[in-house]
Amino acid sequence: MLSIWSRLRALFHRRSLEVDLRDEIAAHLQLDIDELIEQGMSPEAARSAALRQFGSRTAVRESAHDAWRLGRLESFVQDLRYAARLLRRSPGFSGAAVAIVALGIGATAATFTLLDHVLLRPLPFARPDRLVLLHETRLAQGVARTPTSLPNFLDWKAAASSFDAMGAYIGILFPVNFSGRGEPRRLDSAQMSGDVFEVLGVAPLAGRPLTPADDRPGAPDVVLVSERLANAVFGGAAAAVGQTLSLDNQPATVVGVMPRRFAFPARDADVWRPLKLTPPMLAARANHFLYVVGRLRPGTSIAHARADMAVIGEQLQRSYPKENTGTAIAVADLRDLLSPQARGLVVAIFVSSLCLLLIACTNLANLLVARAVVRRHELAIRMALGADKPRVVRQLLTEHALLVVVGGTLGLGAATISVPLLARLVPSTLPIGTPLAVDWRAVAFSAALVVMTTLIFGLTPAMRSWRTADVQALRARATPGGAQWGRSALVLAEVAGSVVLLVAAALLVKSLWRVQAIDPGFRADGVLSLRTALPMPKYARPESRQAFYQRVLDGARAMPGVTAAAYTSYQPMEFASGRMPVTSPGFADDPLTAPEAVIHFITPRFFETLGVPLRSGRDVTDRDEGQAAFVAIVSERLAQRLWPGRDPIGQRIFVARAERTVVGVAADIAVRRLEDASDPQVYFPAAQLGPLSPFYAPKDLLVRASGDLDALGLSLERLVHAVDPNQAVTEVRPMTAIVAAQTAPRRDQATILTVFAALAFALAMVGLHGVLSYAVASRTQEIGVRVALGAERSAILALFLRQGLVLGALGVAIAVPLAYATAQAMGALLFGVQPGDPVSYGMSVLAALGMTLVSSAHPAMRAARIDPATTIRNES
Amino acid sequence: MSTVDNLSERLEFLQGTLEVLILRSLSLGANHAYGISQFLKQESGQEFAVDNGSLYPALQRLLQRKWIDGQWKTSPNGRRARYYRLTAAGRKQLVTATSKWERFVQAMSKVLASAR
Repeated sequence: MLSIWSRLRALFHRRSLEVDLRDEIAAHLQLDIDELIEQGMSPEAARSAALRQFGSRTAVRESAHDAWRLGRLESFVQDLRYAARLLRRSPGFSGAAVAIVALGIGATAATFTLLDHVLLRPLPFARPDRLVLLHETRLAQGVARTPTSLPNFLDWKAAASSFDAMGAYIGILFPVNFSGRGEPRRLDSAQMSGDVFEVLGVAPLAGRPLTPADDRPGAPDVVLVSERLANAVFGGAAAAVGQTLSLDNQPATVVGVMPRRFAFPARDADVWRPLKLTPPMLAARANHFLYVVGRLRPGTSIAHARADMAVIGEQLQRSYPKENTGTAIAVADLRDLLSPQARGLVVAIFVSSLCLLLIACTNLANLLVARAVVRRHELAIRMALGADKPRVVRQLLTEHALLVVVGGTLGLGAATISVPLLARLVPSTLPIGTPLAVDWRAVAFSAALVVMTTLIFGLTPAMRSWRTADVQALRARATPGGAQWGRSALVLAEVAGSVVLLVAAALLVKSLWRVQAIDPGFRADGVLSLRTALPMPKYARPESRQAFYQRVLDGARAMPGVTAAAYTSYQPMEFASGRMPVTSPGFADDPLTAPEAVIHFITPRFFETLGVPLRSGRDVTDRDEGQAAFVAIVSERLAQRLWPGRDPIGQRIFVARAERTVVGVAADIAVRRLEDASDPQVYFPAAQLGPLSPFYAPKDLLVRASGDLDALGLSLERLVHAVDPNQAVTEVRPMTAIVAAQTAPRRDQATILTVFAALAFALAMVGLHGVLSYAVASRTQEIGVRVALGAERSAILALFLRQGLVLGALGVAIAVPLAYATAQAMGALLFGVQPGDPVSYGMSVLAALGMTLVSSAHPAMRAARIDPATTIRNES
Repeated sequence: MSTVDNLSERLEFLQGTLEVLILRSLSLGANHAYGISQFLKQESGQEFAVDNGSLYPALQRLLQRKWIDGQWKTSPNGRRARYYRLTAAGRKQLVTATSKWERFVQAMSKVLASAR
């Protein structure tokens, strides 16, 4: 048939069509006149005859136009113009509606982007659905996830039949000293077996990936570097391959460059090193430090793999009872790398934004219904003048669509802006390297929301006008009733939704306060922390380390304002040192059941620097050297576990592969997370590493000082460089920042939920006010009559206040069970607060009822002020 | 559509026939709207009086289908007018439409003759 295109073109070239037609008709008439004159008519007579013969020029022009008319599309463009004009004419209504839509869509698009990034989109590996995570469990001891040892991993690999490939990696990144190219600096390095790259199937940007051959003892030292590092140091991926890097003073050849999106096992990795299978590691079945990724064989289900691994786990328990008793093998989805907290947080935020969207849409529907009622008169007139009903409904829908599209676009813009805030909620262990951004998926999701919003919340009011906009409506009086119920239901939903969000926000804020109120056991203010990760083997000899510590500490203590300084293997909250079983002859002999303690190697005055009280005994001193008798300081909790009711001083313990004598007891401190109960701790002098690897050597410098910590940081950096010009200094932070970072995710989630709750609250307020204002307006005459008949104004005030309060109370009644269910679902996020916390509920309910009262007050007062004389006059 | 003055006597165009007649008139050479309507009046022995309200939309439809195109030219007596001309597609369409019309007329006549 006709090409839409030519019609479209005509639509926009309407003017030239118009001109052509006008000229053509003029020419037509002229030719006719010429002929008539030729036949002998006078020019005047010829002209009028020609005009008569031609017929109505306007009608001809219009019918010629009709040939080009695009029916629907044209009327749509017309509707759109009309809608834009109407909306411009009532900026209050349009502004409110657009803002509401923008809010709902913006919040949802932003949180969907987060949800999509963290939970939905496939991980950036080849065939990610075939990838699984394997780890050990020791459920009898309450350990749901723990790494395996290298010998166990090799046995798994040899025995398992469900996998195409299996690779092992260390779950955390290690700092390495990178020197020889400009300022020395610290890089985060990952270590994994060559099979990991085969399992994940991610091709390097340049060069080759690591292979199992790189793991063999004696193989040349090779590394992969990140695209980021290759660009910064070598000026490009291709240029990096074949270069040599000095990592911890060991040369290694760059064999490949990994693309930016490769973020395994964590996002900050800059260097990937092969897992060297050295003989001691191959023998250490009790050394659990490896996680395993596997690629399922095609056609093998995860259930089958679980059964396969369960058999292997039992065999390993029987073959190596000493190391493996009670140890089972778990096969999990690779996304289980995320903690349940991280998952719960993302879901909670997404659900609350949906809640907000629902409230926003309800409000929008309310606004539109109110407007439709107001415009009933206008619509009835238009229909009386011949507009057909479908056309009127289409016109209304177009108006709503315009509002929603404008609002949706604004919302999407707002989402784009707010996404960097949400990006802080992306867990760093998520193996997705691309940054969080609003992409086409979020845009598609928002578009779907926009369409649904338009249809559901725009169609209902439009259909209502369809039914009611008949000739009856031409009579000026609005008829209260039916519509009122629907609107009340919408308000109930709003009140209920905002109460649910309020309760959730209150519980989170209270959890945050509880966590912030926890005493970490040390005084963080006034302490500066900085890291000097000593490269090995340069500092492999204990004497060289001790000399380094001594010079740095002496220099630091000499600085003005410094009251104490000490080195420790890892500062609190940055748990990276090991937990090891502590046995004590006669009290706890079996390492499998002995209490485990977090081990620290410290220099003297560590306790003074952090403000941790010593309960009894002495601090470590400079005399506790490598050759002296090995000593230890235990935390109160460890002392209680090992020797309840006895004096710990002088007890002998075996820990960290050496026997040590307890010389002191320190107060408990929180070292892992603020909200975890304090673990037992054990402290050793820095010089008494014994047979342990230098990995445990102190690297964090803590300095307590009065005055400006920033300036102190710079002086300390200069000091370190004066001691060793090649030593990198990283993570210069006040201890308070480290403690605050502990609560940052909680703060973010509480902030976001509080903002959502506040918005929902405000929206519900607007909605309630709207409904009551409408009720007052539609009952004006009735009220006038009542007042005329002697009703007290206070009675009328009470009538409307009561109506508002009933709605509010009903909303609250619906909300409380919903809120309780929500609170239970987000149990993983709560700390020190019960899901049924009465204070949170009480405050939310009071706030909702107060809000109801406040938003009813204005319409109710207007009702009470109605003048009976005016209203009755208006009616006649 | 007939003109107002002689409602019952003049013949009404069947749907789509006006377009065929316009194509036919243009097959003799380019012409303007006035010329086309004069041609149809004369050739039909004054039976067809073309209403401009039908002629102009029909011309627009033919333009949209690209069966004719229009150009402004000067007429022999010095007047500027929009001259329509058959396109190749228009010529083809005329052939198709003519043969279709002939079959229609034959069939129509047969049926009407047998009914008599």
